[in-house]
Amino acid sequence: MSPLPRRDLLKLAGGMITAGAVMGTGGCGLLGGSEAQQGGNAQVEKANLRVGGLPTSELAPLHLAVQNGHFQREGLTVEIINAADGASALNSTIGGDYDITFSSYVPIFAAQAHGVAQLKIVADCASSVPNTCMIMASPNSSVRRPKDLAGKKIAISGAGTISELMVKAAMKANGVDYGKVQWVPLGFVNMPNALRASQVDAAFVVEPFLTLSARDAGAIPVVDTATGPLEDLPLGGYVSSAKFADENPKTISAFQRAMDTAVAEAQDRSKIEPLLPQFAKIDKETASIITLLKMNSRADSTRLQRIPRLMREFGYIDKDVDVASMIIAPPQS
Amino acid sequence: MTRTLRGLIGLAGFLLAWEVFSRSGIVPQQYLPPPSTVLTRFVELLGDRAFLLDLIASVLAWAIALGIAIAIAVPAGLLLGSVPWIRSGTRAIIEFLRPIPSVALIPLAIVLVGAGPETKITLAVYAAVWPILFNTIYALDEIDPVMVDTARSFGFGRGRVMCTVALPSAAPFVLTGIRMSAAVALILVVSTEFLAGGGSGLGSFVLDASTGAGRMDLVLAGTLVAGIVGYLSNEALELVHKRAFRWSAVDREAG
Repeated sequence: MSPLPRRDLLKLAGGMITAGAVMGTGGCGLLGGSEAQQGGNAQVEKANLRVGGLPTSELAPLHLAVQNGHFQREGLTVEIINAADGASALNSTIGGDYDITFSSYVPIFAAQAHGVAQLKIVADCASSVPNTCMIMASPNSSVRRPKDLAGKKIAISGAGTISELMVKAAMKANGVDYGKVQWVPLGFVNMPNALRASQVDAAFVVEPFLTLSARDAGAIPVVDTATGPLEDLPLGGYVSSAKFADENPKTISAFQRAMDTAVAEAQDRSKIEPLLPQFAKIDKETASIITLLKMNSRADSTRLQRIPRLMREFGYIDKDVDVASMIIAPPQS
Repeated sequence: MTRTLRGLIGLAGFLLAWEVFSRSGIVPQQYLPPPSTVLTRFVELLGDRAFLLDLIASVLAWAIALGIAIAIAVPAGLLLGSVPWIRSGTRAIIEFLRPIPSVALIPLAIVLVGAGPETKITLAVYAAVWPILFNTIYALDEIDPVMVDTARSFGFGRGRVMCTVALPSAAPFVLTGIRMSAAVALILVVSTEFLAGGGSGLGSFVLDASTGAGRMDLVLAGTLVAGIVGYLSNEALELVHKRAFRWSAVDREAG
């Protein structure tokens, strides 16, 4: 019976504490947190930005701006934080955890109209083009044309999202009653399989799941929502809280300039494709065939006003939102 | 060695069954990729710099969390285990706090300590404290009273009895608690990354791979890496246990 001598125990404890301290100080960068440096530099008020994102293809310009040093040239260090979903990214921004975030426009204008938050639009991100946002039918369902959608089971990414709005608007444009539709909230990632297994009659699908659902599930296109009244519809953009924008005007301008450069560069598809496997985990093969959205950087109030107008028409909000007052004018370069 | 061999045979059998099931087409292959595909991705990932940074971020957070949990739980356990009135006074609070699922505290943790690595470390510490704490308390109940009385009769004071008798005889129990906590802390770090999102970490990698393009092969490969980290840490602690506490029978009870 010889328990550990006390000296060894003390040594062990001392070693652990030392190791912990060393890891704690040296590991900050490796832990993945941005250095807790709140200050700015000669160019901007806040040099280290936490920007919320999602692993979707329209965020390619943001990643491009980080990789190619467009932010660095403006004096910014940007850490992109992928949130679990758009709503939580927006909440983290309202709560002040993220400085700027990507979000689709529906929750942005909903928060603004309901007085949940005062938001400012820093930059536009992407708008719809044909073959990117489509209502697809299960190969075994009877849905083949827009009018067949009435009263069916349709999967959307969630209630009160831009996908629900686009499906309703597309059905209305085609003169179909959406009142009796059974909405099934489902993650985009599960839609190809739901269509294949006939768990739903139709689904509103975006890329890359559009390509995957056609390829693997034999899903059939019914309506391309990005035609007619929803053509070139702005889908999402980058926002910050009004407080952050008021306190950091130079930082916002620097962010806008970097995004301008990145979006101009992103018009060339070959610049974006190699990034998709990295941040959105889309395999190379799929990345080479998916249809990309139209990338924009400058927010235009006339174009963006279409979203709150649609939202009001379909009962998402009960008063108008003045988009022009939410947009931060881009720097005159 | 036969034990290792048996283990390997069992593993090979499992992988073979999985491969056959996956290739049989009962479920589509992209939802349950066969192990051959997953292992290929696994090897590719180990050569991928971005993934290695994710791995380091998670392992570091886990190590820091476990260290903090030990530093909190061992002294607290010694205190609660040796002072009866403190123990009975805190019992209600502890029994209330212990069953709260740590991941449910994510929103609260974000408000209190901010987003970033602090969130996952805080939650992992919260979850990892309990096994160590309870093992330490129970260990003190198990002390041979004859040893304590002997030390007392030599005129040792309370503190000295604590260091020379109580702590060494409690050590095997404490280490068993640490082994349980290591697994709990790893689960918490990865699931917090997965649920709260983040800039880097194994959980964030799995989140992006599943929501970004439904890449189940990458999801399973990432999960495999987390499993290997957990397995290795447990093996290492078991080795420490065998080396240091050859005289104790606790490890046989803990399995």
